[in-house]
Amino acid sequence: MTATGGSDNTTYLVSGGFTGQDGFLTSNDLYYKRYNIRSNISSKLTNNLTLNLNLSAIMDQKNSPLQSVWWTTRETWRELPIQTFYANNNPAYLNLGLVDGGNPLAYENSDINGYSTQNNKFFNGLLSLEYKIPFVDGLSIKAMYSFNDQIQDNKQFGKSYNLYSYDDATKTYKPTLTGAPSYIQRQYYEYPQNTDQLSINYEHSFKGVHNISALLLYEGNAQSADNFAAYRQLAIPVDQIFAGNTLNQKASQDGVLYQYATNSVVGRLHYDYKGKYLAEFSFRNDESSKFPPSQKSGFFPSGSAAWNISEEDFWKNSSALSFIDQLKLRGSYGVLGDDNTLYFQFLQGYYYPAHGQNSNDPTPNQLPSGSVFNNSFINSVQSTGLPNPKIGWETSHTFDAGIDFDAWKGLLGFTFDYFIRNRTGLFSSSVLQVPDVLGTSLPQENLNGDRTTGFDFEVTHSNHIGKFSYNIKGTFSYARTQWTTYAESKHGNSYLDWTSNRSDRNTGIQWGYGSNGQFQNYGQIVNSPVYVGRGTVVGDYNYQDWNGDGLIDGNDNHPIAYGSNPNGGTVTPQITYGLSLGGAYKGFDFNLLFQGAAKIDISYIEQLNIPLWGGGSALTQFLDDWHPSDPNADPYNPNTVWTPGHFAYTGTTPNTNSSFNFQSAAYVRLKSAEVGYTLPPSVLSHIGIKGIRVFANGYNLVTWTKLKYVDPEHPTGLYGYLYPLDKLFNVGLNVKF
Amino acid sequence: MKRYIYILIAFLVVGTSACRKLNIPPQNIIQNPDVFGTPAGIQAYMARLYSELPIEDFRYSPQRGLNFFWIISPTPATTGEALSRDQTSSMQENFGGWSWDIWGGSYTVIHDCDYFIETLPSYSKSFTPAQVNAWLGEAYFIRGMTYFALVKRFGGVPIVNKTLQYTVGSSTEPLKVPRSSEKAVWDQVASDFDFAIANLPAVNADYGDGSRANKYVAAAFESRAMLYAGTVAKYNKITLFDGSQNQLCGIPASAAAAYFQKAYDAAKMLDGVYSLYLKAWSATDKSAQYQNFVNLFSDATSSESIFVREYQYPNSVHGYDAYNVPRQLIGPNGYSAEVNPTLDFVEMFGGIPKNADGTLQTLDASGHYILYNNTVDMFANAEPRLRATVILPGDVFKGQSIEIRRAIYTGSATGGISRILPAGSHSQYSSTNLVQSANAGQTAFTLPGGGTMNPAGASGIFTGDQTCAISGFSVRKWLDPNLPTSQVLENNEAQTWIEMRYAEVLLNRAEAAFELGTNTSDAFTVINQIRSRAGATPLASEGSMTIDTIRKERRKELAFENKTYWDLRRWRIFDKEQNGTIYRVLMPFYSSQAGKYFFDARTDERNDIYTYDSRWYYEQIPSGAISKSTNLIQNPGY
Repeated sequence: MTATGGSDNTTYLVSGGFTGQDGFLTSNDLYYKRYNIRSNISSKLTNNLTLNLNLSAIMDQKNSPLQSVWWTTRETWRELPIQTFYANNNPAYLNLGLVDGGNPLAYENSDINGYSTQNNKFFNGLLSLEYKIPFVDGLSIKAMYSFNDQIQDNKQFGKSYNLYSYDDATKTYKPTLTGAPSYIQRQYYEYPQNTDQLSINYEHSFKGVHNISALLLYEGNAQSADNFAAYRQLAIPVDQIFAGNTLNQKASQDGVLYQYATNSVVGRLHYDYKGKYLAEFSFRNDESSKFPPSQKSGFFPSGSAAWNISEEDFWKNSSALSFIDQLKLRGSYGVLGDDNTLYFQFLQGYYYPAHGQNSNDPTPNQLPSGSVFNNSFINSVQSTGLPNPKIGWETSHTFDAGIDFDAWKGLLGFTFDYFIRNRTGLFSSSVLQVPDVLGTSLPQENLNGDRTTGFDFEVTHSNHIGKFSYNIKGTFSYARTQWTTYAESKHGNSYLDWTSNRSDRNTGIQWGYGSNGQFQNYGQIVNSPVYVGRGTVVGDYNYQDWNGDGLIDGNDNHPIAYGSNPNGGTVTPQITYGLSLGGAYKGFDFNLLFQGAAKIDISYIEQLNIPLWGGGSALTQFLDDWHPSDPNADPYNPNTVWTPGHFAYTGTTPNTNSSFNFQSAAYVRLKSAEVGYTLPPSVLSHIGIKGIRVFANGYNLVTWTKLKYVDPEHPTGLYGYLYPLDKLFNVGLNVKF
Repeated sequence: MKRYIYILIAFLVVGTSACRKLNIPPQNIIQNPDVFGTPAGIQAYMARLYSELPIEDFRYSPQRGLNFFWIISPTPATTGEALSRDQTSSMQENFGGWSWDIWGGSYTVIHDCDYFIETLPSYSKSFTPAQVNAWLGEAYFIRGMTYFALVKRFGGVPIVNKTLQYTVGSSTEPLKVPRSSEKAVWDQVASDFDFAIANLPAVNADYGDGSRANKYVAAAFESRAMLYAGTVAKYNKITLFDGSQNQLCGIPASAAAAYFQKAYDAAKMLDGVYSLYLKAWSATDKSAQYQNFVNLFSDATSSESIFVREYQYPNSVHGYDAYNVPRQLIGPNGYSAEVNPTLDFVEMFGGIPKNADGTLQTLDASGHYILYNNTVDMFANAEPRLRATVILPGDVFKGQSIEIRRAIYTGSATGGISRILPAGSHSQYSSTNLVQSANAGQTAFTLPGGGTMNPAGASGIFTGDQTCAISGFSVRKWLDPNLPTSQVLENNEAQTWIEMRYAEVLLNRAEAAFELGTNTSDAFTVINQIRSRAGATPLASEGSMTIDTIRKERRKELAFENKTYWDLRRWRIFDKEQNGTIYRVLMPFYSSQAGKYFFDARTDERNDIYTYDSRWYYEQIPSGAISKSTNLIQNPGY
């Protein structure tokens, strides 16, 4: 709900809202609620002095059963179909799963295994004063201060419960206590942030022909984070810390602890001549607390120029070209900096207590952060390794050239951009180049570089036929990134360099075996030019002998795909595109948005690749396999008759890194569709309501893709068990008073 | 008119006062004076060295390397001590992406020791000379242990006894230290241990419980390392020379005697200081002998534990019980029974009925299965050490009889039951006359005499699910009998790992003495001490003792302690023992007609074939290490 209003001097906007959403668990123990409120006041203190005060607060809470939903999804897939949720089908006894010992019914139920709540409170406050300096026309000065805070308060309550296995011989239920000991854990995180800004703005048009605007801005920003947590085990399941046992209690703090500040000076000068020739120059000088004093400063300039050809006199006066409403050529070049490094790479000393760096984190079950001597745990110091006193800003240089084109008053519009972005000084350590005998860890240095090139364009069309007006917009984008410099060393032979090194090579390349189809009959196996094992049967995967040496081994690996896998890093599709359609007719309006991506492949892992994986169940898609027509026939007998299928005979799975297992994740999705109707004003004027619109919309309605069980829009993360994308259907009402 | 000036001044004051301070100090970085100037700082440095010490403990397996938690492919399943669902062949160690890099990680430990040795003397005024020497001794001890870990895997490796200086961004050429000869590294190990022995006190001044080094700890490890070097010198056949004729792989055979002598002398040093654990032992009571051997591994006051690694929840944990409990005691995590001792292993022990060729006797003179009322009856007189190491079918653990049974045999029992499969058959059992179960969700079988019985035992053996006693036995050593089943979880166990105990020192002494040939009577006495504690019959005469007697005693005594893997390597018999080998298992059956149990001794039903590649005696140096330091020569065959 929003209310706006005011007088000549003061205007206000006050709004508040509530959102609630349920998750997909049948227990309804997964749900989300959010409350938000905002109050913006803008007041003219004098003719020239304006005060703005914007305050907003949000509180949201996510409730879920203690067991994370992705694990519950994974276990539900893995449970054997011959097992029942209840032991001996007796609903008083939850069955102890034969696979991993879990029971998804127990997992999804907060009453049984406990709950986890995450509560966030956000506060944003912004105060600004703007003063139009009276004796200089177009000059104003503004000061702003904003304070943001996020407080996160999490609670986990773990309950122990019994799962049972039924012994048919003695007709008894044997309990197994799961989830013990019961525990309560509270976590508290705070992320305060504040920013202040002072800016001078000048805008003037000289003789109506030379338009100038200039800005000089100073900004300071500080962010920090702090946290602590408390954990106690419970003898009796009361979900509060005071009810816990002091034995084994833990007070702890994790690595989300930092402090960071930046100062920036920004300037911009914009000039255009009659709107025909435009030029702009801007710069930033950023200072960051992450770098040593000698390196903390970075100067980043940018410039752009544009030529609005359609504003030229010869164009405006030409009748042949009058159908073109706008034709603009533009180009820009800019430098920006990034300070996204780990903290304190320029210092040397010891971390106390020890903690890891990147992949060598001490954890209690691997290399611990200390040693136990005579039953007491002594924290270690850990050398910070070598310092890098020269660590500084990463820089990116971006070039863009583009055309904007509009014609026939909206019948055709067209925008095209081509861009190249070169980044240098990307943070990496030279661990692949420095001999191991040095024995100390290496700091981050500004070593790597990459280049992204691409283009994108947009086509628009809008028109009306009588009272029906409509618009269409299509977008398309293609981009590819390559490493220009990568800190690595030569392997000693050019073949290994070619397979392993990354310099001057595109990112996201996946290596593996190529495919020569599947063996259709025994003749192909027996006469195979490549060595195949004795256990090969009809339907097995025939890998490509890429190097022609008669053997399928690591030397046949070559680039086969571009993409990732559900547990890998994110890789951006090379092509993304979209189409939006909208229209209105006499109070009705509709809107459709399609989006899609192409040129990205995803490899299947775990249960998506292997049926009966780890002793668990199998997806029904694997039933479509090559198999002997007579189920009792010997699969190794050359005379056996086979029924074709898609997958090889169960027991043979395609190599994860092979063309058989990579699937294109190209997709088209109807992302949203909405229809609405606005009641005509004549109807409403009696009631005193200014407008009513009813609408119905849906999100993620249809998806066309060949990728199975993984969302093509978000294919990586959590081994493929990510919370699935919801199809949402909404009906709603907008009322204006 | 003046108003706007005031307003402008207000703006500027507000703006400039908000300039951010960028010199934010770190929250958790300390410097040398805090570490080397205070005893607490030194303890923190020692804690780091000891946590990095490369020993093969509960967090080790060849599949996962060191310092990893998911030990479902355990070491015993590579040596023939046991079979496992998840380790089905032999292997050289795997130091893949997720585990602690043995090459780079070891040099980090060596650097940390070198730095300590170089830096402590300049802070020595805060401490007594005895303290300083003792701490230096500990640093040399840890460095010696780390060189030992490298040389036993790779042969000659670069020796780095001073910290290398390097500025980020400069040339790496000075860092390309070449491999030294194997003998030079063994001698470095000996020299580091000798310094430690000379400078450490008899009891560690900071912590005397065995978690830190003392003079005798260093001596005990020297006996282990020198014995390793001596056997390599004597039995190794693989050689590799670099361009300057340094022998990177292999030691001249003439050096063997000196190494054996050093090993013997080092082991002898512990005589009278440590002793075999006998607290609950009785010369006449087999049950007490069994309990004594069990308690040896969990008694914190044991006189036999020389050097241990302790764990503590929640800061340093492992999951030994979670992975290795018998199936019927499975914890909530869903793992169990990853270490299943083979029949070949069990047959090394005494007190069980044997055929003339040393294999277990399961058939009587007429070729029919011997029948027992309970499965545990066959093992009634088993050597107590066997019972304490292996859970025998039907034996009691955590108050339950561990029920191990393959199937119910429904065939006729009149006149005796003949072999189910022909002798030497590798086939799986067919389902004729057998009622079996695929997994733990069993359907009971109604016995002819009335009553029901599950076809397979509660701990196996199932035909589908292999998390059960697939060899007919389950491991007993190291399991905690007091851990409630609800706590049998990964990352939850904290039993202390005994890395060096006096029994090993005695075995080192015996083997070194025998290899030297000069003091075999000492070897004979020592072996009998161990056998007597184990409850085994003593050796009859010195003359009956061969090197294989000593080796077999070592394999029985130190079973499932991640030691046999290294012994098989240094004796160079790994590839002879594992050459297309299929290990044997013991399958118990219940005859429904006879109402009794019988056993079938046969090869592993899964037909896992073990072959040890003799290249692996010198493991492959990680290719990453070579690409960074191109003058390192790879070991032969890779």
